[in-house]
Amino acid sequence: MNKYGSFSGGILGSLFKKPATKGYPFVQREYPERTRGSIVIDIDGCILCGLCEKKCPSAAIKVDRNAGTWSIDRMGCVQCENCVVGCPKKVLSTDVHYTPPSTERTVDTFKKAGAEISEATGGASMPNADLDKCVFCGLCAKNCPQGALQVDRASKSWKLDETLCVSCGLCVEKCPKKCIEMGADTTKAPVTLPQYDIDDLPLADASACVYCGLCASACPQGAIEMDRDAKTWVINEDKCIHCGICYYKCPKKCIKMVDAETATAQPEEKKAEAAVSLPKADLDNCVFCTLCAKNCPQGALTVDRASKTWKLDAESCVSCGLCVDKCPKKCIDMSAGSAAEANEPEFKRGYEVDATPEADTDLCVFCGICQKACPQDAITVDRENKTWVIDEDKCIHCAICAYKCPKKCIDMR
Amino acid sequence: MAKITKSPWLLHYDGSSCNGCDIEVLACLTPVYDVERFGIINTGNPKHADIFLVTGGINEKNKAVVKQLYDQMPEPKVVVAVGICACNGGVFKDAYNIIGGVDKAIPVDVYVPGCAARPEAIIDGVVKALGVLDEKQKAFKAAKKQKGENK
Amino acid sequence: MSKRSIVPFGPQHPVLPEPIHLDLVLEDEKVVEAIPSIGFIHRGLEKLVDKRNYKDYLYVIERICGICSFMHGMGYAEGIERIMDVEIPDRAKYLRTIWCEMSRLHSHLLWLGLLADAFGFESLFMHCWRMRETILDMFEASTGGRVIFSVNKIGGVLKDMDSAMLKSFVEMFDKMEEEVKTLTNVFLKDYTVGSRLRGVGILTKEDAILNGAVGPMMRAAGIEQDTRKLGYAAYGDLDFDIITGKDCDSFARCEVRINEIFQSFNIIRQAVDKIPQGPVSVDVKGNPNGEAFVRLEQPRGEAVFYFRGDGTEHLNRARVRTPTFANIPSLVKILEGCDYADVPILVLTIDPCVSCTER
Repeated sequence: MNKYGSFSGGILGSLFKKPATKGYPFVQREYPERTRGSIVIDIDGCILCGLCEKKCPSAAIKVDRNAGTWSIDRMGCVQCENCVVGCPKKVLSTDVHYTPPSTERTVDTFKKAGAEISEATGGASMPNADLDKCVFCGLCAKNCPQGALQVDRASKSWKLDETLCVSCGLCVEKCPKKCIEMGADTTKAPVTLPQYDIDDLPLADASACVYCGLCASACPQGAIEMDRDAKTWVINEDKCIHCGICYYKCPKKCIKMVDAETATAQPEEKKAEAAVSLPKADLDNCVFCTLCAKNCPQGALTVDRASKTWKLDAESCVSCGLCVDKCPKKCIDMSAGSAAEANEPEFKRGYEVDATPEADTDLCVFCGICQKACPQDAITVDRENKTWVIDEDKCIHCAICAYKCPKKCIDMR
Repeated sequence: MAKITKSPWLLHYDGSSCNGCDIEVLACLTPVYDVERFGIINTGNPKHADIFLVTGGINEKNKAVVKQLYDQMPEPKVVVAVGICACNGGVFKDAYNIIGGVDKAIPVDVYVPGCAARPEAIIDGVVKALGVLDEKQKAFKAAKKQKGENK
Repeated sequence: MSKRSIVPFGPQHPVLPEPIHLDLVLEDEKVVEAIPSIGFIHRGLEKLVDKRNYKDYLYVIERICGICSFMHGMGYAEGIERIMDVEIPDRAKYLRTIWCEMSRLHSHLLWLGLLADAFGFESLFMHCWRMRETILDMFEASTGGRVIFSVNKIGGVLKDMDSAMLKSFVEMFDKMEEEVKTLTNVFLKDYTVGSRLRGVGILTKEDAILNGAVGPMMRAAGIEQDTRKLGYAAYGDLDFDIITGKDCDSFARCEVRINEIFQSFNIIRQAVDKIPQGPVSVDVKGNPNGEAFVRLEQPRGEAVFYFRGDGTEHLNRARVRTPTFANIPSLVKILEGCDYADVPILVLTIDPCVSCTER
């Protein structure tokens, strides 16, 4: 047993070995590829969803959607890679080189190029599924990094938890049916109220207002006083509860929510020149489909298929123009000055009113354009089985299918 | 490195770190990084030290200790905050007992990021601190000279 | 008649990189009583469960301590996996075992270095730390971090080690084992080392039980207990013995730790041989609801984790009983009656980790 000098062998051996010292800073260190040095971002691919900010355990990342910036406090980053792992777009990665020491706290800010992009993602646009196309496969829910989606096949439900959603758009990308879109779908989602301060008052744009009075009848407080004849529109400030219902009831979208000062300062302008125009149908093209009558908020239109009449009750018409918008044949315009003019009968058409469309299946390529165009969903096209079926009960004989057909293979018989 | 004209001595104190940065500071002194090549020595006595390395954030109990150590160091002196906890509280920022980074107690001259700060980063930080020390030394000498002339 | 005086030790003390304060009551050169006071690095991180969700809290809890960071992260992950009834892949269990043993290796080498430094054997200190750097390089190559690894995840591990990497590690360990052997021979055989450690700081078996000592401190007193035998991670499949000492003094503790170094080499080799192929993690959905205890053998001894979740994404309570905390009563016991000059060594023999203790 060498009680003494047990270390001498080691010491002597070390004399002939290469020094263990790596020589930093004269020799730069080479890092293994997994080294976590600092976080880097490919800002162009970033969608500013803010997931990284939520995941950062040391709150070093700040994402500003409105300014379109992503910033990291270099002196606050713990390089845990939680953001890199959690990034839905995989635009974050780790560089092997550490942030150099500095006399100031370093904060690196990256600005996303293109203001329109930041606007597109800046609003609270949330995904919305088109439930007609959705097959409830659940892929979107599986891929949601926030677990904000709930899809149930059995009950055919697709639910979004808006408090969790960060609008990253992964669900849109992952959807195999491409039936998810960012942004509220107005036909199915509840109407989103406009962005306005709680004290804002509605104000009608006198140049666009048709004095239909729909706003006044919708107002729960009776705060809108409108006179068709005098063409005045007044909001009663004291009664208004700022609910915004008038805003989205307006068929002309001429009501805006503005602050109280603007609303009261502007004297209600009289629309002196523009005479109230009434809708008039071009009976040459009209197929008496009754869609206009169905959509008239005032019930001012009477359309009768059997007797082929189209009649306007000028008394109740509020000139809102909805019938013009809804007409599938685009044969109504707001040109008539009087009720007599509007109801003047004229009748020309290339086919019998009761004729139903029929496709020549020899020519038909089953493209489905007619199916999409049909306002009544009366046509069913099956590409695979090469069938074209019309539901005669639903058909309103509008002949839109025949007009839209790219092969001109549909006949009205 | 050309800046090193004297042998700066270090004083190291662990504020409230997880000791990850502390062992990295010690690792700087061991063969692989060996800052003693530059005459840098880790001393336990604040009166000997030029550079004060602080790791970890500041809490109620160690605030006084850090202040006291800083006051005991002779002028000119430089403070280096090593690791992100020393820079701004790091991952413990929200913890109830953490006041924040070292700059909540004493003025900090150089911030060294990292969790834990790599030995290379600590060496870089010390080199940077030496630059600051040089400037402080010049200012200190000028002030002394002026004082002498005034007499 | 001897004179009584009180000498403060710490918080800033050259022998320890971390602050701990002891009021030493001296009678001439003999310590009669030691009164520890802690809290210099208390951060209050257990309370952070309120502010971080249970998945992100992993990154907080692994920063309890920079030496056994991996094991704290793993203890947390195991606890949550137990609450949520998640079975992690076998490969992940083996990878965790390998990283655990690497942590133990680097911790024990670090301790040997600090011990050598405490009794003034500086070249030995340097050699220990040089050796430790090799392990840190392996950690960096496999996890990306030198000190904090951030490689655990609820449901497994984040990074895999391929067979080429594992093979190169084993080769490096084979080479290292030879070097460590010459180094530890110095601790075991050198006269100077023996004279400083033998017969100093005796903690008898009875005292160890009475004061609740854990880890090498307890095993050096001859108590055969090792939490790894509970078979968490892959330890159940691996073959190893519990290392104990008999002399109950500082030298026995040093001996136990040195033997554990070689045991760790052995366990890593076994694990690399047996590691199955497959995925390294599973997806975990939902929130933990329930409670779990986890016991882990850290380099310093047994750590006890307790977690309770209430079905929300924030845990209700997290609690860690760290080994150094359990060893402080034993430290106070061995300091009684020792020479004043031996205090630094005795403080070191419990392998204090103050960050763990104060969290």
